[in-house]
Amino acid sequence: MTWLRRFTQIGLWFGGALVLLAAVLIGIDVILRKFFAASIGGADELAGYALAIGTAWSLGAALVDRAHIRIDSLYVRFPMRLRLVLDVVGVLALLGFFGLVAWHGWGVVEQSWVSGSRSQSALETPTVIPQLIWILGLISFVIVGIVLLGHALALAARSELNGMARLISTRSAEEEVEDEIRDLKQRQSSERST
Amino acid sequence: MIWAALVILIVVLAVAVPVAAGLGILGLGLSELFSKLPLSLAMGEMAWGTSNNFLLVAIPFFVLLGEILLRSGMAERMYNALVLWMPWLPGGLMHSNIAACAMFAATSGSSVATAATIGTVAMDEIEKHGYSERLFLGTIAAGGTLGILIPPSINMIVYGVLTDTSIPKLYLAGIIPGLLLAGLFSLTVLIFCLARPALGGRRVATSWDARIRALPDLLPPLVIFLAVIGSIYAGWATATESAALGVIAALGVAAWRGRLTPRMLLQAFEGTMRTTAMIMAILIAAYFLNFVITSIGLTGQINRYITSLGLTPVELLVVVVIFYFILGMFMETLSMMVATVPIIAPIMFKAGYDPIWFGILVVILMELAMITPPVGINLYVVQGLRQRGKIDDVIIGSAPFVVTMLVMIAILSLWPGIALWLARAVSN
Amino acid sequence: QDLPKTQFKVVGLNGPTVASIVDEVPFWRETVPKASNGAITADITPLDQAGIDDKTMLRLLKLGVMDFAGMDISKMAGDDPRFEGCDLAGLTLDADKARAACNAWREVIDRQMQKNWNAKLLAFGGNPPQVFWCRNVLSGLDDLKGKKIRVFNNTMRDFLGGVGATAVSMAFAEVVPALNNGVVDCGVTGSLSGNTAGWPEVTKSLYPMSLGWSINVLAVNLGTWKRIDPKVQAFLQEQVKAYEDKMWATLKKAAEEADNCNTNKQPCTMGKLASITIVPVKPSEAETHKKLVEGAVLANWAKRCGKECVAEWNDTVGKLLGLKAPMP
Ligand code: NA
Ligand code: NA
Repeated sequence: MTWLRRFTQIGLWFGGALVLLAAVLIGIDVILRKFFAASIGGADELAGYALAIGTAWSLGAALVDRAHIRIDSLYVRFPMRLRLVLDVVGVLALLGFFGLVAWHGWGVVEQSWVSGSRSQSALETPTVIPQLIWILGLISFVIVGIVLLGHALALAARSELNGMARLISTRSAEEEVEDEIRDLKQRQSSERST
Repeated sequence: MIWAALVILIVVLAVAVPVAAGLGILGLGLSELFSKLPLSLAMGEMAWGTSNNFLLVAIPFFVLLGEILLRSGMAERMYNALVLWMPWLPGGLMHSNIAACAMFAATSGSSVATAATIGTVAMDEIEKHGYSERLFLGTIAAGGTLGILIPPSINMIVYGVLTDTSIPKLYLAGIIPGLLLAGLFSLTVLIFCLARPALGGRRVATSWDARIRALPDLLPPLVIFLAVIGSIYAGWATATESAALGVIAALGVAAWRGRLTPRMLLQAFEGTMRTTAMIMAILIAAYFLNFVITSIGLTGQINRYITSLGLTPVELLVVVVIFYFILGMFMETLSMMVATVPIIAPIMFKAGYDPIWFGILVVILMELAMITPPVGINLYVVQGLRQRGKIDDVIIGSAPFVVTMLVMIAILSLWPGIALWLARAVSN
Repeated sequence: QDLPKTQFKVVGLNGPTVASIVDEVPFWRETVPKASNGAITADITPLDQAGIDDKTMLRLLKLGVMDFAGMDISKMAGDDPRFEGCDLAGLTLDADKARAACNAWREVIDRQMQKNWNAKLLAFGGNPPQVFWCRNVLSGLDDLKGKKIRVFNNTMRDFLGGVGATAVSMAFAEVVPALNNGVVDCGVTGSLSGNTAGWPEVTKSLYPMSLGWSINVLAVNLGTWKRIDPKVQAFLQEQVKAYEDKMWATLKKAAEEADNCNTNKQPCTMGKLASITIVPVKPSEAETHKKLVEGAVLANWAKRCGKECVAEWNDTVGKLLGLKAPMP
């Protein structure tokens, strides 16, 4: 699990660095245009690639860190076991959708490769290059999700439901669980003392 | 068709499927049920087209800007300075929250970034000073929404592009309503605290000397504001480019404070990309959903229905506000704008409403959507910072400000000049 | 004749353009259903309302997520440079020549579409000319030198490179404020679309040397085409011919009206009255223009398109216009 976190964290750094680089490039372009009547001729295009690639490589971290928004108003009122089932369903749904996106996204890359597509800017970037890095990010996200789900199910098999909740439940639900456990322990200790 | 869509959406969201996956599944489901054509094949092209859309690059830029300012200590200093200037009002720090949000909103185009930044520095104060937690959280969630009304604003950029409206004019038009709404938020706090003084917490001791000494801490936000907004009106940059200039200015502030280290940057990257990935995941799904909805003719159905009602302009306005209020409960704001503005805006313009004015109205409706459950992104941001208790506390604490925003909408409708005056004065 | 009931899904041109408003949307919503006695109906959505990135239209048509597609052909040039072969910057200065050039190039585009894109070309259309809108009153072609000009494709960038101007890219909605605040000196867009988007409020002059015609095509997914009844095929082909004629007639009328509107004259029904200076293209500039097209524009395009493509182009469009693209 540690290395999975590490891997997704590196994805975040990679994405963040691309975004910062894009900001700097645009800054340079603005200066060039203002003072030298010149232009990089595609800073906006490169920034777009940075967003696409950065997003794809950061989706996994958002999943592992449980940052994908889930509406849990109703969910937190369910019993723990049902919640865990819904957690698994949630991860599966996310993986299913982005798995399909990655699948069809691969078609996009293939098409660009076959027709030798290039961008319509001064850079004339072969579009397969950014698209390939993008699709690899999406694929890595799907793999991260499968590994995470595997971990969670392994914990379930060993009845370590708290550990499982810590992996895939929403944060507020996880805290509910901790509260319940704290209550339980307090009750146990007070029973012992009486 | 509309009912099928709503039922699928509510069921999927109610069982806590991630919102992005929920919208995507809705898209696939509608395509399966109502389309003869294999619409799901478009997912790849739609996802790539959305992901590398230059206009959306403003999202990570504004989030990164917030992360850097937070870690440079600027946000905290600004907040503390405002704390010193505000404590005499009943409700004390809650007014500082709103003022800090308004001031930070002048540097950031994102409501999420505004709520997250001010929320981070304000959160510790709740227990320290004995505030009612709920209302305090509400001021951050609602105050944070000012991020898109006071310029710069991602949502105004998107509106401008969707309707071919001048973004700098929208920015000018947002200033007075933004300040007015901040004032109304404060008024709301005031009313609550006068009615129930227990909500208001203990006062912070301060002196004029301390106040004056804190003034320089309000300078860095001004510098960033000038970099972002000034660069547009000085003819240096477009609205989207100006977001990048904001990031560079924020780096400058951090370096000036001696806080710019590789470690700090990596932490800023982490926060930025986690939020960006979360928002983009929803947008990718929403763009696909929007494509399916138009392809199966649902958009056309809604459009024809509204036109067939033959409403007067005022009735139309009421219907549109109700429409966005309800839809805003369930949808993320950018995806909602992408899906609805191309249909609604032309109808409104034809009815005689000014595009700039309508843009401001839409932005306020989006602010509303950010704090209405079940899908209210600022509610989730504030709850995420808090890391304890139930989200219901944030929802209940934000409820009074929902009413405030509805009042703001009424004021804006009765006196459209509030939005239009500055935009017109400057362009003449 | 009785046609079998058929329903099509169409994604069309950008909603606010003349071609969409006057020709395309009425064609699918009124002309076709009426002419077929209600047998053939179509549901058309302009691509901007569907949230589609215009560069991906042909790819989506290939996948079959729509039956018919109307699209700006130069936007597809990234996938195959042949697609801009009759809409290169400055290639033709009047509408009749533009249409003739596209006719000469029709077979090539149709062949490429059938071979690589699972699609069939049905019709060519266009919009009023792409012209320069500037903050100051230009003195002529030479005056563009050193100016920052917003353009949106590679062939226009090539043209500007030849002139010695700086090409800037930005979203359409950002151009008006950019012109207003001086981020750019000039922008290129249609003489009518600029008018309706409020460009006259932020510019003083218009230089009408055409940089292209936003040539659009109507194409059908091959799977759909093969599936439909031959009678319907014949019917559509006939309708499409009339549609093409109508589009070019609209273009001419719209271009005339645009000139009226921009110089505060009537009739001006399609745009808004405005008064800016139209700087006429001087006869002496025609020579420079030809050099620019053959040098900068055709040479760069030839590099992108390759030998085979250039040979074909020289035999067809080139012969017609008396131009020769250099072999790369
Ligand atoms: Na803002
Ligand atoms: Na909401």
